[in-house]
Amino acid sequence: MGSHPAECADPQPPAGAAMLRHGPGFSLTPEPQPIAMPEQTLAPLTPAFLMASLGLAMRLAYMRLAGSFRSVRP
Amino acid sequence: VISRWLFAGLVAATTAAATSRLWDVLRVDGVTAGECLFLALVTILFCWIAIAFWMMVLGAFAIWRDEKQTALQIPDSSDPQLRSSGSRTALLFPVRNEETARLCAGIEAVIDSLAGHGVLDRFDIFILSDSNEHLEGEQAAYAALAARWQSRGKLYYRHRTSNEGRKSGNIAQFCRSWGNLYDYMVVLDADSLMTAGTLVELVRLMDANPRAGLIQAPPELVGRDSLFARIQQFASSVYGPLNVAGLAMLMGGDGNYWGHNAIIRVRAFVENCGLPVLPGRAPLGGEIMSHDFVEAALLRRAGWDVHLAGHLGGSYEEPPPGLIDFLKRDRRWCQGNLQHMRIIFARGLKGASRGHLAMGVMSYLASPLWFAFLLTSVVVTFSEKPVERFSFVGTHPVLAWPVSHAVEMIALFSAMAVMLFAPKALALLLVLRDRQRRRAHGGAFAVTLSVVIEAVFSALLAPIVMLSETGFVVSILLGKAGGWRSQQRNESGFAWLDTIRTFLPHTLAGAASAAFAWFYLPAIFWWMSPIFAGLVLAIPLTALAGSAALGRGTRALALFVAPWERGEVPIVERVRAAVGENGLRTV
Repeated sequence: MGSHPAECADPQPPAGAAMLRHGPGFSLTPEPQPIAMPEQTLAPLTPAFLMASLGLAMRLAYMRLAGSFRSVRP
Repeated sequence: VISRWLFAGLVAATTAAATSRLWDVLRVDGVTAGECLFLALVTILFCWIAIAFWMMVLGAFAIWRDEKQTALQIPDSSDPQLRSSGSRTALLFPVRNEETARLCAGIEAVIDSLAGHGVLDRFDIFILSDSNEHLEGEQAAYAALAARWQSRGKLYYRHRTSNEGRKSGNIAQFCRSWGNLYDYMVVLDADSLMTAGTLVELVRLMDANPRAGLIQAPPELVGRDSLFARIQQFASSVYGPLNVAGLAMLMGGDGNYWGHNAIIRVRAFVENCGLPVLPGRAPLGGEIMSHDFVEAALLRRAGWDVHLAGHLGGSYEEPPPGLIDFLKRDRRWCQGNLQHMRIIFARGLKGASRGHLAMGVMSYLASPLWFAFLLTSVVVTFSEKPVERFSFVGTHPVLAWPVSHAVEMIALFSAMAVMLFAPKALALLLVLRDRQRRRAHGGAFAVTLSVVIEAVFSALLAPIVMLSETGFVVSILLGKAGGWRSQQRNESGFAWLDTIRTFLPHTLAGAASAAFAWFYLPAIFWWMSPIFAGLVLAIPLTALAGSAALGRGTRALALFVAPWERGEVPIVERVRAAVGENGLRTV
């Protein structure tokens, strides 16, 4: 099995872990190489931005549809 | 990739055509508030059905024309060995209080498949346990598994004493500790399987597509014996490809993540998918439950592509064995998806990601909307004059004549029926035209009969699920958080008491509404009879559906046959053989 017998990253090893750790060739985990995982923000859009986006989307849709109709008109 | 404008146009045109006909009928004798509500509900529901319909039609078109179903750059197949790739990949099995024997059998089947392809050394396997029950048994089973494979590969086990952040917290803890060691990670579920061929192909696709942050391999449902599960598995095999092809063609690199059976670029995930805790309390606040959609949206926000690899096979998961387990899972998903109402308008998300989140919310809101539609249609019908299907045109009594709207109403009803059932017919046609698929599903007659029975079965189950989901949505919006219990993943035995307790309200509601319609609204009784039938028969239907004996009986009749049942998927056979030996399941 794995070549790095290592402690579990969990600060409190689970019951039974010692038995496993001393089992033949069994390693619980590789050596940890910690990296940061930054927390993302999911802040909502402001109402004004929402309204502006909606207006723009409707305008784009209208222009697109109008363009489509024009393109098929004989 | 098909233009989303064309798709939106088709959906809008279909919806407009249907609702304008209804509007023509309603406005003849003036429009009441109830009729306005009725029209609004029909518009929303018809739009919802139209989206599913056109998605399946696009998928059928793609399969029929043998179109390339993915925007991914597909590497040259003349180099099938992964050895050309220097990438390191971790296979993650996040688990919590699972059936250990089944889980180990699944992991061992994947390891065996990798060893058989000579690529086991390219993958490290991590069992990420959040279990808090039967821990010693779980760890002893993993030790035994490790002992069998210790000379050939790397199998790691990690246990957390708290399951902070649930599954996404579990994965995040892996990323923070060992993410640095790997280029990619493949997330599997406790009951999911992937073949070595598919895993190798996913790594090759990631290598060949440096902008790809995540590639989802659509899982096919396999491995269960109950009638309910067999019908779902059959549907997944026959109809699933249309949905996947349609979705893949429509979304391209704007795809979604389904939580497992996907390969993820670790760096992209670590940098962009640290999930925040939503402000406020559960059910709509707190930890994000349906993390997968949000993680896909965050990857897209950061500029990484998310693909659905519709062209890949070799990706599997098990369905719930019965309706109660299906609904238990549904309750969790419902709460998770409704939480997304607070995320849809998060800053910086791509429009397509907002669309995925909105579709997830709508997939559960559709049930209360359908329920409201039924109630409104009863109220509108009840408040109408006895001759509601006629109106008198003209002002002079002698010249006035009755005009029937029955044709319009039947046309509308028929349009809805066509949109619900035509995709199934298209899927059937695609199976029938392909000799190999036709045989794999039991032959032309058997597959046709199976589709017909499946359509009736799903129509009967639909009102039961609708009423349950309506209850879920109402309870969640009232602030009641549900539990996060593991699914009951075996199907031995049937819990009658649980079934009666769960579905007695459905039965009573069905019987009462049927009696009401029979006496007071005979005009709509027969139109609504499939809904009454489903509700009244909820208890026996659930019992029959959960029966493994009936599942085996229908298999003996060659009904609902899926390719894996004919021994065509060795990895599934291996798991079933192992689990059968442990006596966990009636095989």
